[in-house]
Amino acid sequence: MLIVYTISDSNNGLTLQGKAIVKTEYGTGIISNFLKEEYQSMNSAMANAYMKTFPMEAEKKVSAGKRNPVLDIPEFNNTWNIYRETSLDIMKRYEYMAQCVDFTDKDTEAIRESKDILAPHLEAILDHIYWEKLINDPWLSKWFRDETGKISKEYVTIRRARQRRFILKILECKWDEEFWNFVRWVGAVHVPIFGFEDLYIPVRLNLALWGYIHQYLFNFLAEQLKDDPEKLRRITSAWTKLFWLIIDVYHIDYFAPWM
Amino acid sequence: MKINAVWFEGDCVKCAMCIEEASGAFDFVVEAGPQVKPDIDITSFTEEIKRAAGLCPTQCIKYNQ
Ligand code: HEM
Repeated sequence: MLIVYTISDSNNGLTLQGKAIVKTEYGTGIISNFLKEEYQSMNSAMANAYMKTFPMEAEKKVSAGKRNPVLDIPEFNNTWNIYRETSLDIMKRYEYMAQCVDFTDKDTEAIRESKDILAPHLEAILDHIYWEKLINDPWLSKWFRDETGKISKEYVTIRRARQRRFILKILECKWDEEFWNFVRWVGAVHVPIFGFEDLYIPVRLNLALWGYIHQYLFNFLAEQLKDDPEKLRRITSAWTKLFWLIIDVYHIDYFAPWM
Repeated sequence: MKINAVWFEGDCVKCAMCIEEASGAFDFVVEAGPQVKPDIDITSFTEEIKRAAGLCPTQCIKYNQ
């Protein structure tokens, strides 16, 4: 992300009042009116934060004097194209990851098959995740409390309903662009990109919850399918692959593109 | 079958999902919550309204068909 600050004097250069124009790859915007001193302190705070994140930038740049020939090698050129395309195009990302984890039409079929087992218990599964797991965990429950620290039943009801919609969407088994954009959106609302600016759910909590749901689902399926181990293998294997595909796309907006 | 009347009843928690699902039929009014848009042809939003009703966490969306 490229950030450029410019000061535009509003009064023949005599005033210290200015505007910061932030240019990013997503567009250009004016962030505020402020005094020059404020601009300087903000500028250095930003610069400090940037340097902490990318300490290598503080090192003196010395040209190696050699060109990097890596892209002349067809195999690496190919890899670069995969990286570039899967970063830009969510469907290409899904297709690449799907072939990597070996997620095939047979897996989609197995997930469809599991719908008959899961759908009748969906409400109970959601009740467990929200009304038992989330609200009783000392850290996860933080986001479900009101200002006084009490669990807000109304808010838990809302979160549960949105999670229910998400799971129903997964069970439709339509792995199209709309679906993957929705998965990305769901992940993105957990960081201050869209939604609330002060909302940030640490990655480890997402992983904790994904991990918890994963094992809960598997134990549930194992119980339901204890007389049909082949079906259990088929379904749990398909869900494992799908979980990883979803977890990847869900976290796109948590990380810099190169991650 | 087409829906010919829709209304809200009960304890809405204002999750706003009904507006996301059936934006042609419903509006979100701050404080009051979701409302049926005036002067619309309800029948043409049958699918969306049914989907919204199926997702409503408090089953507040009622309709006749
Ligand atoms: C398995 C991982 C998770 C999944 C699948 C998930 C799913 C969702 C979904 C579907 C939404 C609503 C998106 C929408 O309909 O617009 C949402 C929002 C939210 N989730 Fe999660 N979530 C996960 C992890 C967490 C964790 C660990 C927390 C915190 C304990 C959390 C707290 C929230 C909050 C506070 C919102 C509201 C964001 C907003 O309204 O802007 N989520 N989540």
